[in-house]
Amino acid sequence: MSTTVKLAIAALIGVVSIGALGSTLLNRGSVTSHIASAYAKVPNTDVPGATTSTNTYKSDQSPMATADAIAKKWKPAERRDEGSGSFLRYSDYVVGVVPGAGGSRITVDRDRDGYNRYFPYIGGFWGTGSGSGETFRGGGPGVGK
Amino acid sequence: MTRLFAALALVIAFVAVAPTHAHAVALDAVDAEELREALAQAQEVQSICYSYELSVQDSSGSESTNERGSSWAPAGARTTPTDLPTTCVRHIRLRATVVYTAESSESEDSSNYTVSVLSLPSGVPDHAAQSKIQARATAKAGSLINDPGDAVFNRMSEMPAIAAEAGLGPYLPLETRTEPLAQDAALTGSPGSDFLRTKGMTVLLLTLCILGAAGWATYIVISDRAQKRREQQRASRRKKYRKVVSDEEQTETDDASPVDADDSPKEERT
Repeated sequence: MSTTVKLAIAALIGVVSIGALGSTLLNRGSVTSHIASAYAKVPNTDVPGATTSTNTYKSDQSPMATADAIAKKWKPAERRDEGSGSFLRYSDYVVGVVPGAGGSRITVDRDRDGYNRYFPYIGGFWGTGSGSGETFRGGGPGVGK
Repeated sequence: MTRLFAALALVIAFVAVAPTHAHAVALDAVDAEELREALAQAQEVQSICYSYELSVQDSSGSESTNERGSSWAPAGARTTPTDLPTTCVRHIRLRATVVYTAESSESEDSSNYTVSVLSLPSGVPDHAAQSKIQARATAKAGSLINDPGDAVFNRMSEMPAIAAEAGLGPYLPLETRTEPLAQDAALTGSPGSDFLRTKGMTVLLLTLCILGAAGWATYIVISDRAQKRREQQRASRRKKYRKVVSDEEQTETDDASPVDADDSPKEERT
């Protein structure tokens, strides 16, 4: 293989990699923008305790399948699957996926609001706090004990 | 420098031989009771009985343990099929096994989950239901080795969701809070960057490709120049050699010519 051909191959690899890297960095996106584009937005009327920063969406799939799809696109820092739904933790948000009409309901809350909303399920696992609520279980193995 | 390498080697050796797994009791009483309460709630809604058995066999010197739990009996109680509540239509049972080998053994530690689903009251295995939950329920068996109690706790906590996902029972009703969090309640730990967590590997690989391509191109240019320099040097040496040979030939020719010139005049005198 001549020098020119080798240089051309190296240049091609470099250019393609730079293009891909640039595209990745420029189109960073976020989990909230992904959910907003992938799922239909619905009013917060059925969401008790919804705040102004709560966004609710609906999915045709089951809660666990919807949570899998979101987690595949944006890997969560933590995840809990409970009998009532799936809960995903991101850097600034908590995403809850619970059963809803026709499939599942997705709530996107700021982290503290989401921690408050789903405290019976994630309280003690993702943070601290004393329990209230019938299902609070004190945070799992070895936590706060 | 020698001392630094020696210290580093000692640290590496220490880490290599240090025990890497816990030998403590897997699930403590409080956690086992918490799990039982959660599973009991699920049983009430889904009419599915849940039970688990964790067997830890330790050949490295610590005691082996065997722990049990279920949604209908006190934590740790041994149960029999006749103990199962009549309200359950299915029984989902998880068996987790961890084997720790001795430090001197060449075998590695091992772990595995098995899940069985039985139809009630007959007790006949429900293979169709089992196949629906098998993959999910037995995933991440490797995490058993590091912390068996934690792994079983998390896996059993997820089991009602896995069963609901498979259509074996309904999801549990959602309980949410509307009042503000207590003062002592707060998220802990830093989740880190979502972007790096999701795309960090891609960015790293692309960066390595760019650096690799640049390095390869540099190597091609440098080796090409070195090759050209070597060829030039060879050509120059060949040229010098030819010149030397040519000069030597010329010298030989010049040396031969004066001998003939001397002979001619002698013949004329004679």
